[in-house]
Amino acid sequence: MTTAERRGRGGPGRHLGRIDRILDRILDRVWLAPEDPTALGLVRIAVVAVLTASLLTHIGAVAEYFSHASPLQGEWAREAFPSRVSLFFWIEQPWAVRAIFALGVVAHLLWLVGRFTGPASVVAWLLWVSMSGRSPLLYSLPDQLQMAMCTLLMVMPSGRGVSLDARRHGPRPVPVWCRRLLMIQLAAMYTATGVLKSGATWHRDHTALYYSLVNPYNRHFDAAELFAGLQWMLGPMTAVVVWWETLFAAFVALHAVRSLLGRPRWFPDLRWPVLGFGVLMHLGIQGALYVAWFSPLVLSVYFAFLTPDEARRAIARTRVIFAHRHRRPRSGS
Amino acid sequence: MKPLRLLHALVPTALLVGIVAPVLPTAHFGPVPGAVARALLLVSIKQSWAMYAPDPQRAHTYMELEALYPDGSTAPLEESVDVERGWGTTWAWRKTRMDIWRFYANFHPARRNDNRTWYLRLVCVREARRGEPPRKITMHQVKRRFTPPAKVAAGAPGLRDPVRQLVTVAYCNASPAREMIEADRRLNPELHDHG
Repeated sequence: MTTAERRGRGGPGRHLGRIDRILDRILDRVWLAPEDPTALGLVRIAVVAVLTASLLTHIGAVAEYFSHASPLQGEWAREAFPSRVSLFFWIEQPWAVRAIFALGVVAHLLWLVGRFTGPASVVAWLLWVSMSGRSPLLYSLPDQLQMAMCTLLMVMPSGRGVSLDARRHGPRPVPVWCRRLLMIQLAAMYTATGVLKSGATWHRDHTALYYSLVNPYNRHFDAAELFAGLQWMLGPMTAVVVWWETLFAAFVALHAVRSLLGRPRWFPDLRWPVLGFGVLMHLGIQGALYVAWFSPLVLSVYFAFLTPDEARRAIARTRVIFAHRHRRPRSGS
Repeated sequence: MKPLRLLHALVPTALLVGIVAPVLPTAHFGPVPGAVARALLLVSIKQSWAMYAPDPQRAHTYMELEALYPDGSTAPLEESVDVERGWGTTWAWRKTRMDIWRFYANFHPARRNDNRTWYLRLVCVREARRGEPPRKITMHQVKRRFTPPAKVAAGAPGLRDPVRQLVTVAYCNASPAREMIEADRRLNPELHDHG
């Protein structure tokens, strides 16, 4: 039976066919439509660079943390952390653990440059799962985001753009769900954090930023008197930060609606004010506090908000700047 | 709709559930958030985001460990250095990942805390590698509250006086710390060679 004949038939079959087409169109717009891979490639480079840097800070303590050279080892390690899986619960010899770690470093580098991206990302992910599973108490809340981002990027075809794989096989499109899920991950993190900030220091005294800045556990500057004198500024900033975080999911939702509508001119583009505030906030946090790799990682994921066109223009501009700098000394010589 | 497209759409949908479900309030969504969170925890993914929530810390605590040896002598252990020097500033190059474990081990001083229990057993093994294992380790906590900004602006110091509190006593010659030390001697004899 031809499609025209099928369409011509009446009854429930016709309705089902229509519903099927509508569902297909919705799925396409929301998740499956293909797009240029450049923006996702940029996110991959930025996030994997942070993951690699974070990984390298383990050097010198790998056997002590994850092998039977650790003071907590063998059956007791498995007993202490029963809810996790880890290769290092079963492979415990220090040399073997170091070898797996070295393999993981190579996998991170391949993932970063986008060569054999799929298998490299799986190996890199397995290493993080194994390290976090074997000794979860070595990792704190900022590290959680590393694990979440590592997992999401591993599942995505992140090597299809801005990669050696793309240079070899040519760029291939990626589904729009990749960037959208990264945005949703940020939205879940910010909004959950904002909603949970229910205490008096956030909503009544507005002293939360002050207390964060003076905590000797992670403060960069011992300047309680200065910060106390700046409470007139820190108080309003406290209120703004908690509302900005809480409303981040609403921003992502509006951004998604704008994208689905084809980015009409009458629909304001909120990315620059909202993400601009985020950039300033995270730079401030990074400058004032020790928060491991949290700020660089979050800012890396902000690349997901670039459209593929914007990402391509940004790369082209960067290339021009580099080419210009590279040419200058030659012309002078 | 082609089955392959439907299957493809299930991938981001499952990931979406993994991101959003654990942060949903259990009061409205019952056991679902907890079940998803437990499944994700298997591969060390945690989607609970409570940074500086409900309030940031308003006090900080360090552990102070003292070892009692079989000959009756006592000695402070390396953790106690923080009590003396940990009230200044913190930069990345001064931190180790063990600081994070110590931070967790300080939680709930009046209640059972498995992170603390395992940390103290680990200290038994570590000390056994350095010489005679202690008979017991006494853990105190030293806490300093942060002075509210209004009082600091009026001239008060940023940190209040330290308050010391007994938390627990761990016995290195009791199970399983004793077995952990014995196993460590078998597996890592070179680390127990006190020359």
